[in-house]
Amino acid sequence: MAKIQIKDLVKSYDGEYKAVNKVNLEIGDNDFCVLLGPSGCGKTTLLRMIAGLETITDGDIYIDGVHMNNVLPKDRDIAMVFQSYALYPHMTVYKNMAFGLKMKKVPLDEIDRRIQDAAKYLDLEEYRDRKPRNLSGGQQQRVALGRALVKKPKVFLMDEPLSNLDAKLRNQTRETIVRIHENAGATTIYVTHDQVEAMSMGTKIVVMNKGVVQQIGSPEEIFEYPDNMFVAGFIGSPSINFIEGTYSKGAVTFGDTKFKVLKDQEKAMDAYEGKNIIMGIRPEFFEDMADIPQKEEDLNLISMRINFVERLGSESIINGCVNDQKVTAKIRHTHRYAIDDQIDICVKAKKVLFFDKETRQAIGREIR
Amino acid sequence: MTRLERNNLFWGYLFLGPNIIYLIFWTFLPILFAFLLSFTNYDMLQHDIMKGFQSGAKFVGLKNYMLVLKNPIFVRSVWQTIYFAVLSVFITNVIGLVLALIAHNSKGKGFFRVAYFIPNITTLTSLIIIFDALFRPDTIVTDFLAMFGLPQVVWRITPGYAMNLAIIMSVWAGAGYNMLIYLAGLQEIPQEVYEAAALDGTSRPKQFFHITLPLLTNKTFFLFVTGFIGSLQVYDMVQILADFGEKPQVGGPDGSLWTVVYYIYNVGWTQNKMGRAAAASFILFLIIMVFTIIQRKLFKDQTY
Repeated sequence: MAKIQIKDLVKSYDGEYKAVNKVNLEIGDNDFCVLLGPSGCGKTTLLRMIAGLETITDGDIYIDGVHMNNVLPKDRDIAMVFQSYALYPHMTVYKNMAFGLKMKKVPLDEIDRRIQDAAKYLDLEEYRDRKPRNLSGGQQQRVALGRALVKKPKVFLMDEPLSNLDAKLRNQTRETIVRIHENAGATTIYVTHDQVEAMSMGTKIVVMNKGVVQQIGSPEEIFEYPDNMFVAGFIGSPSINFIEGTYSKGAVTFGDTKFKVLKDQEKAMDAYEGKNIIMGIRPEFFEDMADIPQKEEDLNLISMRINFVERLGSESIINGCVNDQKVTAKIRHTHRYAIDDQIDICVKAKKVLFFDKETRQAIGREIR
Repeated sequence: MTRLERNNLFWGYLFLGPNIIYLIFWTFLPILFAFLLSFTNYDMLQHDIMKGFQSGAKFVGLKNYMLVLKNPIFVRSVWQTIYFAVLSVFITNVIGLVLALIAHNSKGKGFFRVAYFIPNITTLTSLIIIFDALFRPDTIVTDFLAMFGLPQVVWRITPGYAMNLAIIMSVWAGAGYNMLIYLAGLQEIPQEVYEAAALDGTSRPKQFFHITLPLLTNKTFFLFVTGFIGSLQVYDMVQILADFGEKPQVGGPDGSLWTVVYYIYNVGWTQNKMGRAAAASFILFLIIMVFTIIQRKLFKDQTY
């Protein structure tokens, strides 16, 4: 268990471009914190700085209140799982897991006990004496997890540990990692570019882009109330619809469609009177009018021409056009939609997000 | 066999053909011929090889082998060859590894690679001229060595020094090659493995012994085996050292430069005892095989 505090952390390789730019972050005991962002956003660099594998250009890192900037990696009481696993190729599974403990001079019987437990837990018992090259990708991955696990660290650091596995194995291992995190009661920092991974595992998600933290929050917060257009666009699949419209007197006009703005949002929107803003609507929040038994007050209605339908069994993703603007909706599969059909879909007014066109920040975020 | 397989076989052997023919005539047949020779008393000047046993050459059984093994010069040459091989291979490897570590961790990698490799392609004769000029009294080298109590002598013509000069030269010439192989090995070790080791609590020196060295075992094995095969056959270096400059002497000063191949050359080509030379060759073959088998055993389970 550990609290990690990061203050104004900066990493720059050439003194100009900042791979990590003024990151402030607090990760509490038992948090499963996911650093999420597209490749090159600085998430791995941030993780490596916490591990001590990367020097710190500016700012501070504290673990349990102890200033860590100049502490060697081995003295930080952390364990890291690498994307490439980084197993020792010349050592057996057992020795791979024992190495760190031997270096720490843990008694041999204690080492043996811990590895027994980890091997059992990770289904590695029969592979104890194999070398990494004789293991499958999934097994190597589990050895890497085991190597971290036996150290009983305060903090687990994981750098895209699942990206080299196939989809099925990824799901299984996801579960294993969450279990490890919960049983060990350690703090976990997990780097990924896969939003599904982030949403399903994390208790706290840090969305990053170009070295800057975009938003910190729970998976629900990040999904429903993104702080800006980047977060809104990055999270969710299919991705959010951005529709440009003009705000005027409690409604946003977009072609011949009008979107009502809730009363309590109006105050924040006052500054945009007569201006263009961007609306963000998640495909999941659309519903087919035919599914709505009685009309509610705050429903926004769109009439859409279908361009293409992806039938996924339990639901359909409908790609359509409204006033030349492409719109994607994800709708429960109760109707058989056909291309070129004109359908009426609707979205609740409170599910519509508004963004400033210039700053790309969410409008009225504070009143949500 | 299907037509496709037959067709593949035909084209396969067609492409291999020239090499197979070459190997048969210039490698396999000579080996077989030498093996047969080692059981005869064939003398190049007395017997016409084209006439075979009609020429007067006789089958003498194991006599050649007995004679060779009883010959004090041969026995001495075997020990001197092993002395040369063991020392030169070990020292070349250690220095090659050190050079590789320097080159790997420094900025001008390309420069070091070239600089260290140049000795490897230097002609042996020019090497000997340089080293003979350096390892004689009142040079910078022997002055330096004198500080450790080594007497100022002309190494090339002094018994007990000549073979060591050969070792120094072979290390100097060979270390660059070993460096290149080790450098390739170092570059194959992923950075993450070192990082994992750092997180596992190893300091830099420990990382060298626990990670770097074991992960270079494949290269070390290769360099040892090829190094021993090469240096157990050392010939040109000792021959030129023995025959060069003032006081040339067959076998070097007091015979201290005799090696197995040098002996084979002398018996075969200056004394014309081809049968005996062939027998010595097969004894050398056995020695090399024993060394290789020992190394295979030693490195077994070490390679990954």
